Amino acid sequence: MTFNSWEFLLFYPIVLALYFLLPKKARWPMLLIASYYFYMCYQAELVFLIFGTTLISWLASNVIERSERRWVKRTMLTLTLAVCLGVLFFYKYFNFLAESAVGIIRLFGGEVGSFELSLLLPVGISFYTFQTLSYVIDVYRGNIKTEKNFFFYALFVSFFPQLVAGPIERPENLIPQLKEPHSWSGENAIAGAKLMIVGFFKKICVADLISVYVNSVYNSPEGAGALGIIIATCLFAVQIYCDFSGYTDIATGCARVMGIRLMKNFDHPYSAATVKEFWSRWHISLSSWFKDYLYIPLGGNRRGRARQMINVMIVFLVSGLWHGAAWTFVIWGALHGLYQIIGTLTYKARERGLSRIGLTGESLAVKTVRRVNTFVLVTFAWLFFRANSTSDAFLLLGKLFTEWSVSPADTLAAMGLGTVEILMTVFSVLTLVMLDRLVTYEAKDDSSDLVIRRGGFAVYVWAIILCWALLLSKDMTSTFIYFQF
Amino acid sequence: MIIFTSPAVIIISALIIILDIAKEFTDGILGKILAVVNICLHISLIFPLMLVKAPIAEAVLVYMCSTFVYTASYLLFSVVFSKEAERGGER
Repeated sequence: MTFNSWEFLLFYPIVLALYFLLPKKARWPMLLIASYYFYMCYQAELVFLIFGTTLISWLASNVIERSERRWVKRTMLTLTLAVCLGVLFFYKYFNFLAESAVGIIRLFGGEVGSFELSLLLPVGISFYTFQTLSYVIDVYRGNIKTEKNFFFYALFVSFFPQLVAGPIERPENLIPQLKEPHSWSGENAIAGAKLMIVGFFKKICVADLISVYVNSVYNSPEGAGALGIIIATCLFAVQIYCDFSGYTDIATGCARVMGIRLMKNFDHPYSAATVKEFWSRWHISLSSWFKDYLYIPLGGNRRGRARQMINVMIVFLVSGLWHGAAWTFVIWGALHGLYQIIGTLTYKARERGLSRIGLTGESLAVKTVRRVNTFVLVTFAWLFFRANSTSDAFLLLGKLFTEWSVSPADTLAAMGLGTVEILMTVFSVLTLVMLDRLVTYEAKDDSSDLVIRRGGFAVYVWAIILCWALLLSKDMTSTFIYFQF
Repeated sequence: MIIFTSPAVIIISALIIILDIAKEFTDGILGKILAVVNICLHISLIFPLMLVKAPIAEAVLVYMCSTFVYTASYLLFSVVFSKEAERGGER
């Protein structure tokens, strides 16, 4: 059951109605049952994994809090990390490691058969594993108290809007809100509805429409030309942003209608002037998780410049691996680590260079150049993220420098980009940019409200329905990209 | 494209553009009526497209253009220009 499915359109209103009609004490058990039902619609056979992770982390956190001996606390934390990460590693990385090991052995002339297992990747495992680990680590650090009620803790782990693809919530943000008895609020309903409308618009009217043109290049790299690769990669940058932030908007909106505020996960990432700033605006819940639970424990920037660079690279390599069990994701992560290292090492020299020509980092020209530069660097890295394999990625990379013989008209035709498709893409993206500005503006100024009060929501909902019909007619509907992580 | 050959599509599109701008300069009951009529026109644009049997992709394109005009008119007249007017008033 994905957000863009008929089942969810039936599921959510029922859950919402029950949430506000039931007595306040019955709400959270209902949400827990609904969340597990939501998860079981994906993979009923693997529900024991999320339940097991929840139980182990809850038991461990209780032992950690009650024990006064440091070695007991540390042992329980280590065991919990080992078990939870072990499960994640097994289901997500076993086959990747097996395939890589076989490849290395064969590279040295050895003969070995494949020992991959037929494993189903549990949906959302990366997200709920990190969410439970942040809870246990925060208890260990003394930042939060344990939740005494196991089933309430289970709701924190499995809360359906953010279960499958985040945001990765922190216990101090979500648990108190789940406990608070929210009453129906018109303001929350309007804010939540706006977020859902924008989210569905991003996913259906932009991301899914664009995906077919991206797939035409990335699924057939042998026939791609340089211009096609550039267009497809730039479109993928838009697609993945709209797909993932669209999901987050829908998740956040669903929760907001119930009075629960999930953390912000995106903040106009493509307006970033540096790659470092990009990561403070993209998938904020994950980057802040890595900062708090990996980068700072490794020493952060407190142990000298060289160690800081190593820590940055470790974080981004792990981040790349977190996204997927493939070398393309590792390369993508390594590229971002490299960008940050080079950016940090050259910062002072760049600032000195700017001051010599009478400019500062605050001038519009410099900001514009930096934003374009950041977009180019990030988009280049997306090539590896999207490519189906490392061989495809390097094939596409090579073609960027060699395959310039195909004319622009032939390139667009090969990608399926006719006049209608180009205009539709342009108008849907421009509409989204303006709609996003409007919703941001209306969040600050309640005196005007196009999207909901003036009935404007009908225009956007109708656009979503028509685009959905178009996608269905061409069999182009798809699930959310981040569900595979 | 077939959409440019349909008088109904052209007339409704022209009305939509006029109302998109007019509603931003009209207050009170008339403003609300214009806003509602405007939204109804936007949504009903699909029907003349169906009548001329426009390909679904073209129909969606036309609707997306109208949505763009709707959003742009509000952003321009109610947000951007009102901010300029406020700044002018402050001077």
